[in-house]
Formats: sequence, C-alpha cells, structure tokens
Amino acid sequence: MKTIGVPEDLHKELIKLKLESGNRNVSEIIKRLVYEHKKRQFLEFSDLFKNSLIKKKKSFDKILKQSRKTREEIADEWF
Amino acid sequence: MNGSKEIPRVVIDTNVIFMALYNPIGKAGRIFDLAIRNKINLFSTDTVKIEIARVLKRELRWEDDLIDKKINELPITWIEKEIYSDFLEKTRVKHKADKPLEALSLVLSCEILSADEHFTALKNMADIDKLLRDFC
Repeated sequence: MKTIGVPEDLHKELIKLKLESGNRNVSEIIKRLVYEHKKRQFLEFSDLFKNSLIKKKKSFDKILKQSRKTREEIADEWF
Repeated sequence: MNGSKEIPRVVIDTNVIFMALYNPIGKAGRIFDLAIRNKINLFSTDTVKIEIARVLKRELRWEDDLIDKKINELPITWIEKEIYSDFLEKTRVKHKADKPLEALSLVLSCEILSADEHFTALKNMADIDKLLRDFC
C-alpha cells in the first residue's frame, strides 16, 4: 500500500463519492476513475480513426491491406 | 499462497488492434476493455507499433505527435526487437513479416491473438471467444 496526499477539499469530495457510490473504500473510486480515463482515451482514438476513414474516403479493408503491405516492408528493413 | 491470480498475457496483432478501433464494442474492442480493467495483459512488438504508425501517417495523414500520443495511450506493452530477436529462428510461421509476433509469444510463453490466416497453423493461437468467456 502507498499513501498519496490530496488537498482537504478533494479528500472531502472523495469521501462523499465513496458514500454515494456505495464503494467499500476510496481506492475503488480511484480505480474506477482510472478505468474511465483510460476507456475515454481508447474511445477518443477510435472516434478519431473512424472519422479519418470517412474524411479520407478510405475503407477499413483498405487499411488492413495497407497494414499487411507495411508489415512486409518493415520486415525487409529490419530482418 | 497469497490468493492472487496471475493476469494472463496475450500477444496482439495489428489487425485486432485496428478492429478494436473500428468497432470498440465488438469482440476485439472487448479485449481492450479487459486490458483496461487489468484482467489481461496485452503485449506486442515494436514492429507492430511502427506498422500502425505508418498506416495512420500514410493512409490517414495523421501528424507524428498525434500518432505517438494515441498509440502510447493504448493498453499494450510494446516490446523491442532486442528482447525477442534470439527467438526469431525458433518460429514456425512461414512469412518473415510475421516472425516477430510469434517470437514474442515464445519469449512470453503466451498465445497470439490475430485475425491473420498466416498464424492459423500455430498451436498457440488465442481463441477470442474463449478469452471473452473466461475473463469478461
């Protein structure tokens, strides 16, 4: 276990969140926040990717095919 | 015994990563959700990282900074060539370009998750349905 310091007002907020959410402890709240953060990052990447496909008029199959070609190219360069 | 359960490791291929980005609620996307929840550990090679970066740059015209940022946010541990290169000659997959992934799976003693038919003959191919059944 490690200890982290947080300001008094944030501590109050975390305790309030713990009570409201029914979580057993604050680390569960923080774990949930970390999950939500990472999930949001992943979904943002996904949205950017899909929007770029539309904008550049590329099909998903084309991306997979280009990816395969790129793999061969990297192998020729590296190995 | 401390009761802790070892988190399974899986080597993931580019096509599964792109599939997850294209459809984050599909099977591949759910694998990433498991990784974000620390229920499985995803690994891949530096070659896969570069492959994704080049595709995003060339096909979708993304800037280098954005590519680096987004790829590094993925819940994947990227392994460099120095770690798996000694295992390249022990690989069974025929295509040279696929050898790094199999070599990494040999280093880590784990399965490969790929939609590429080149890997289907291998014994250590992961079954995505089983992974989702076992860890969701």
